[in-house]
Amino acid sequence: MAMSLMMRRGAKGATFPRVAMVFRRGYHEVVHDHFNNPRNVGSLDKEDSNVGSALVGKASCGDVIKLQVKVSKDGVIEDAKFKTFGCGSAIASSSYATEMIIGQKVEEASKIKNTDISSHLKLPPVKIHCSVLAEEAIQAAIADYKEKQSVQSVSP
Amino acid sequence: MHLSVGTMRSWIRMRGLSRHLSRPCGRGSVHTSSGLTRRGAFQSLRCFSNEGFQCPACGAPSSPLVCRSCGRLHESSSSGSFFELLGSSTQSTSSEDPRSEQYLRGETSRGGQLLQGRPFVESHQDLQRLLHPDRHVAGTEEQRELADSHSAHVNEAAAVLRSPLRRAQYWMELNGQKILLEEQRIEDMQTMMEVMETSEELDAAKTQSEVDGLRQRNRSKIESVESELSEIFKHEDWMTARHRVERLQMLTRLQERMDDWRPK
Repeated sequence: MAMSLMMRRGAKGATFPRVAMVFRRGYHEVVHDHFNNPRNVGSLDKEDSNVGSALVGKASCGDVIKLQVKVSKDGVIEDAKFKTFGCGSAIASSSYATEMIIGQKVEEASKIKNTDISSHLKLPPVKIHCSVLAEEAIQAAIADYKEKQSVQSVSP
Repeated sequence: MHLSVGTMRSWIRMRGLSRHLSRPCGRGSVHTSSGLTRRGAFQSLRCFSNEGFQCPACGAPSSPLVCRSCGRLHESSSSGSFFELLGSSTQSTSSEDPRSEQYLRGETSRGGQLLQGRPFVESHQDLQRLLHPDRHVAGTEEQRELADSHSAHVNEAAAVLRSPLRRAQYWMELNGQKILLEEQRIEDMQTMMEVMETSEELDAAKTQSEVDGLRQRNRSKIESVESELSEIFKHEDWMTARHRVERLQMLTRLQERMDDWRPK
């Protein structure tokens, strides 16, 4: 319950003592860190042909993750940004996901599994689904990028 | 989680069972009910008809949970859906489709705020009065336990009917539609973007009056989804309904955030 009421507090990393206390009680320090200081919050130019965008939402909890990747000419993800509407674990998951994929090759990033995220964040079993959504966001962003690229290569 | 899907499912399972057990029957026939009895005990339940339940103790027409005349509590398995329990089931409905009419009667909660004087508010209070522990201090232990469990059941029913989101979800589940499931993904891109934008506006808000403005706007969106839903439910267009409920889910989450907002 407490978790579901906690939402993204913006990129500034503002801390809220009451929230932070609740957090410390049940969640691992890493989640806490990503929640209070989310990395790579923001947007990329979605019209850019080197940018892949994803918007995924889960019906059961109403969490929404927007994730974007910017891919260099040699197929490396040079930047990634996210915005998440959802609970602390969803924010932490997407924050960590962007951190993970920056600097990776697209092929490498598309192999990331939700368990890579959840084990790093040490998410409790009831919050594993948040990392699933983050994984899907990575996949969808890469798929969008690939689609843009293929369209581009067809039409000169 | 604000949505207790598990609880709801178990209520529905009970309801399914209870419907089976409370088939219309000849006056006075005895059914064996194992549906809602606690401690796994089998108990005989006297059932009179599908329309009205009569108190086995005094014979007066009674709510399936508690007799309005003698105050006797029933170990009932036939309280039906929450709509039947708290809706004005005693009022006749002239509609062609009395089932969606039930949903419409529940529609009077606006943005999650119950309007006083509406049928189900009254029957909620009415039932809670009859189930109040003070009324049953002199009763047997079994009667006191029934008062407790019925009271919880009635409160759960009121909580579901009062929340636009839970009511819609419950209505769909009653109609065999499983929604807001773990594996389902929201398809309504427009609402997702809209929610993201509003969420950012909320993050940027500095004063209570700004938040109140957003809240007002969001509440009217919830209200319009509600009235859309009651139309959609009439036509049993479940796919559209599912998308609308998903929108309602996101708007409700936003509303909760706005309600929790405190100046930084």
